[in-house]
Amino acid sequence: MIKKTVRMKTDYLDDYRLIADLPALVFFALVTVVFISIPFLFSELWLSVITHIALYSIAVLGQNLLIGYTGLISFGQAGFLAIGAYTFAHSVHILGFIPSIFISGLIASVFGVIVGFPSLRLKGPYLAIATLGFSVVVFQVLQNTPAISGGRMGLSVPSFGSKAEIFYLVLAFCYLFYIAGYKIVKSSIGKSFSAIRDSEVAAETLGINIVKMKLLSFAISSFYTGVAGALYAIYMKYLEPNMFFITESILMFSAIVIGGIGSVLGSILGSIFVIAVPQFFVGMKELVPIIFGIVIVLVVMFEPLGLYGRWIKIKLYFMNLPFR
Amino acid sequence: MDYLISGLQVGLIYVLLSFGIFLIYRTTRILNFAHGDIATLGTFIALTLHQKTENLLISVVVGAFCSGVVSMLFYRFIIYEGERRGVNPLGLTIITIAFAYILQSFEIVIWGAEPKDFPSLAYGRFFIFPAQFVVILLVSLFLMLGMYFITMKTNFGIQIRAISQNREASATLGISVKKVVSFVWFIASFIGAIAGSLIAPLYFVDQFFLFDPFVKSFIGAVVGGLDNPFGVVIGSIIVGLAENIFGGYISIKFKTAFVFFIALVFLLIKPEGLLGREIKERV
Repeated sequence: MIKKTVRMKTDYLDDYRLIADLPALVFFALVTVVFISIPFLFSELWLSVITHIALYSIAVLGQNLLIGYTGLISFGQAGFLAIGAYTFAHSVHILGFIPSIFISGLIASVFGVIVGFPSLRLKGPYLAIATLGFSVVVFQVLQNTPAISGGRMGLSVPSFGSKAEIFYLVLAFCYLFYIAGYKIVKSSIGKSFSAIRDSEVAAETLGINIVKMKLLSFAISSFYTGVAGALYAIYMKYLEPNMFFITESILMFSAIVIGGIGSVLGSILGSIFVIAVPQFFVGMKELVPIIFGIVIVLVVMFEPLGLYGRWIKIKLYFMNLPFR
Repeated sequence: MDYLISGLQVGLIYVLLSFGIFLIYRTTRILNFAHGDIATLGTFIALTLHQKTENLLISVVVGAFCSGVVSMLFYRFIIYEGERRGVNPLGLTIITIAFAYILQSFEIVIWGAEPKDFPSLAYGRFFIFPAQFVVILLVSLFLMLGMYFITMKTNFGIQIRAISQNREASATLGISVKKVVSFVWFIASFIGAIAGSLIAPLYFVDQFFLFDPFVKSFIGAVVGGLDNPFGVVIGSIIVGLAENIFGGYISIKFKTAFVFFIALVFLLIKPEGLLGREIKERV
């Protein structure tokens, strides 16, 4: 008797479809039910940790589109996060919650395009330095202009609701952005991103508009990060410049590397790792970076695809279980 | 005038730091993000030894030696193994970021997070110049001339230059790439840690104190061109001067932002750096 094997994809549209068949639909529905019931299952502390993971994973996915798919190494994440958060904190009084979340994403993506222009000429380490500079500039401007950052006391953000309500808000955005991210990756835009990553010259000869695609990649990724910044402002309820130091960029970068460079699901796994692991080491905060560092070294050496690559291997193992 | 001197002083420190970055980049094609942190480790060791022995000169040299050894071991047991497994340069760069992470918290665990004072090699003034400036000038000139002599006149220098041009070819010609590159990492971090000890009296020493100079010397190297040693020197001095003159006359709050701004302008006009050669890409 032949075991039912993996369903082959015969069509381009097949690859594009998020929910391919009935088992996938059931799985998707089950996961949704589990997510919705999270506030009833976990304590207050873990609920807020999960909320943090969810909003962080939006930003990580956005940067993964830029770093993992388009191959533009950027350390501007902290800057975009800050721009999103502060835009939200200032516009929420005028526009209300949901519109100003999108507005902060838009403002961040405008800055993303501006930062993206150097990327047309700089590559590799040079771009990394230029974007690192962007983060530093945003940080210094925030630190030195009390009009934006609210001065020494920090800037408080109006409360959205109870912890569960914030969680549902973040969850809704997570779903929206992850489905959109999945579609982007599978569409022609995502394919051109990976083509640019693999070889810029070859991609250009195939008729891909490099300028447009690179700027688009920056715009999309900073939109994601800006929205995550706005959600972060809602989650933290107050803002100060120190929350957006360059270490934030490096933390997000390590989330991408640990989770898996160039994978949508890996972004979730990476942010779970980066946010949840420090929770187990509350007593010895100094050890957390050591653990991160060692894990990153091991991941790069032994599993270049990150936790996502491990997950695929485990899945394949169980799929043809009796034979191996 | 004071700003000129302080700019030149900082610029010379950036030269020493960026020279290490340059050496490592040329031989392994990796940007060593842990460079500043390895140098910080050497500075910490020098500080502890100074408290024990009261002899600053020896403790600085021993500290620099220790950080050189750490960096050599790091290359030999992590980077080299990674290269052998076929990890690409980007992955290796990520490993150096991770190593920087590890070193920073290691330093917190051992020496604590509070900033510490570092003694100066020379106090007072020397004619019209601050004595610390004279020390920095002499030491960096000595190290730079030494490096020039080593790379240009000795057999070992010829091996380094051969590896930086073509690694596979020099391996087939009988150069032990592993040994030479390990020693290059040693030299790079040795010079870096001496730079750290020289700049330490101007700052307070904590585990992040070299991050800012590291980033700026990196910018200096990029502005000058990462494949030309003279470009690296000139770029770093330009960055140091520009930063301090801007900070002195216009606004001290935005001087780091200004440095990044000039870097961006330079890179947009000449992406390969002031004295660098253009890199052609092949498919």
